[in-house]
Amino acid sequence: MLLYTVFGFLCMGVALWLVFSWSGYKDRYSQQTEGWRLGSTKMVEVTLIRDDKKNLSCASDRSFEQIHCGFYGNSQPWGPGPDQDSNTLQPFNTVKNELFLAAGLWAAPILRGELPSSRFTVVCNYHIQGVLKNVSLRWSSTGNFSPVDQSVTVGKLTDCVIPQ
Amino acid sequence: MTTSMGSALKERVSGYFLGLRQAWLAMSVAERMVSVFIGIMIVGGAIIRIQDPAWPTWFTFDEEPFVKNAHSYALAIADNNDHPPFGKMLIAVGMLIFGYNSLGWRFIPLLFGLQSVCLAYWLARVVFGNKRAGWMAAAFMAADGFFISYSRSGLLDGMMISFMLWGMVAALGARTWRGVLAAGILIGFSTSVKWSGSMTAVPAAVGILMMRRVSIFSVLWLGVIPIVHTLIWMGALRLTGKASDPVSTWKVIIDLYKHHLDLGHYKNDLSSPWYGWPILMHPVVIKASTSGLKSRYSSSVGNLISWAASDLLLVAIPITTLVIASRTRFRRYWLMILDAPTMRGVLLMLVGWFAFMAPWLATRGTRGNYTFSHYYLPCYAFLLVMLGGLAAHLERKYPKVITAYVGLVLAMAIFWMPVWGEFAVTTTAANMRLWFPKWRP
Repeated sequence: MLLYTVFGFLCMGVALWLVFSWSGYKDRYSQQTEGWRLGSTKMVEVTLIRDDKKNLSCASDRSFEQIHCGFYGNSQPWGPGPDQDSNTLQPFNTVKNELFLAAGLWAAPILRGELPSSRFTVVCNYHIQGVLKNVSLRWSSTGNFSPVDQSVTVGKLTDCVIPQ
Repeated sequence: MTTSMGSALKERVSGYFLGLRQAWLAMSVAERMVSVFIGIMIVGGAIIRIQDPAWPTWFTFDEEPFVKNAHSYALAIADNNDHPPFGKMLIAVGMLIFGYNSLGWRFIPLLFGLQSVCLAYWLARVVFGNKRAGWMAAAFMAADGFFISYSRSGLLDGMMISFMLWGMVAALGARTWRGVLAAGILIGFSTSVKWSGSMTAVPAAVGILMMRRVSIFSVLWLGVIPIVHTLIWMGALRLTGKASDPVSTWKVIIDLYKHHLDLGHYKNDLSSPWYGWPILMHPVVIKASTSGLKSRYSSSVGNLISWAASDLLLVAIPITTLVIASRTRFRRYWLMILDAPTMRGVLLMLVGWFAFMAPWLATRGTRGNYTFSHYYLPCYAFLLVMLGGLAAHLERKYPKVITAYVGLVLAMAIFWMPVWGEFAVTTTAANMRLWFPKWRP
């Protein structure tokens, strides 16, 4: 009886391993941002400077519906860039230093006019559409892409406002 | 074929119910009352554990580090918590099923909490050779806030205790060396949830030697415990992409051990010294949330009737044993109350109690007061099994006393249930149960 019990536990161990492998948990949650789930919408406060429109880029061959990075994995440009294409992903950090990839920020009406010259923040709704592994980022237009060792969420920013 | 199987099954079920009916008819009124009380405690205990464990939806008490690391395991990120990996990997299974939310991280501990009630039955039955002892032990565990609160939280202790009970049942039920090996593997699981689980080896080994059902050399099979522990840890390191060879694994384990010894420098308002645990000096409110004018608590205050009885026995039994050992003429009086097999079971449970207290007594020099009341949970599990065995034995001679006692345990459980099972209550109603400031959140 007890041997069966231990055998049962070992079977549970194998089942656990399979659940780990097949549950798709890694496709639903990113390693970078805890608890940000695929399909959910989060309110985020993003920290920015005016030049981020051209400074921030990501490189990956994957696309999520229509959204994709501004560069392919081999660093070749993909599309006209975030200024003209609201489907181009860029890396951003929240005020809590959470890294995520998002498209559509610069299409927000509030960011179309003259932007503040100093650092500012924007509050938006972030709709999570995917989790991207093996992505490279750069934080200046002349810099090199560096790979991120953890998976990052991908999505769209909408309803952005600058807190007053 | 199907018809014959169906009729055989029907016959067995009707035979079972017939047996139950005959047992019921053979009982005295007092025994029937005790049976009803036990039934209410077990069913009620299961319901109270299962109802709405997902509330509150945020982290409570120590959940955060365990849950975040469970999430890390599910995402193959390195663990940075200071406990072995297995418990967090088990919590992760619930999160894989239900997602990163409070139901996900409390689901597996809940399953283990329910399992512990069944295991209390099994252990008491094996130790005392009496089903009634099993039912009593299961009822006492089911109707105790200490175990209810840990069944409803994403914490490690409930799982460690469940494997501890599994290990004990395996060791005491072993008929061959294979049974002892099974016990070693199960205690290895317990150790891999929390290191204190390794102390199960002490009562398990003593029990094997006392029972003499297997060769005394079979005890050596418990040596598999560190092997199981190391293998689980190696698997966890491999899962998270870390160096997982035996040398690297041992380095991780040794570093963590040193870190544990050094914890005495830390301060925590919820800590309490070891001597405070049996007297409920600072039981922690494991879950607390307020909505409007009402609050919901899951306090780890135990059932005071069981607690008081077990404390009393904790003092009385060693003294009595010493007196009997030194003056044999008391022996026959004592054996009129408790027979030798019951006494042997009681002493074995006390060995279990002491084994789990010993690390905290031994490391007081380095750990200082950085110890917590939940370290007493395995000790208390042994005491409740002991209480079950004693109550079942004494019921034959003093049925009315035991009926009153079990009735009191049930009454106390009903009164305390709101602050164990997170019912919405006013502060006044909660404070009627959480008497002292240190019992409150």
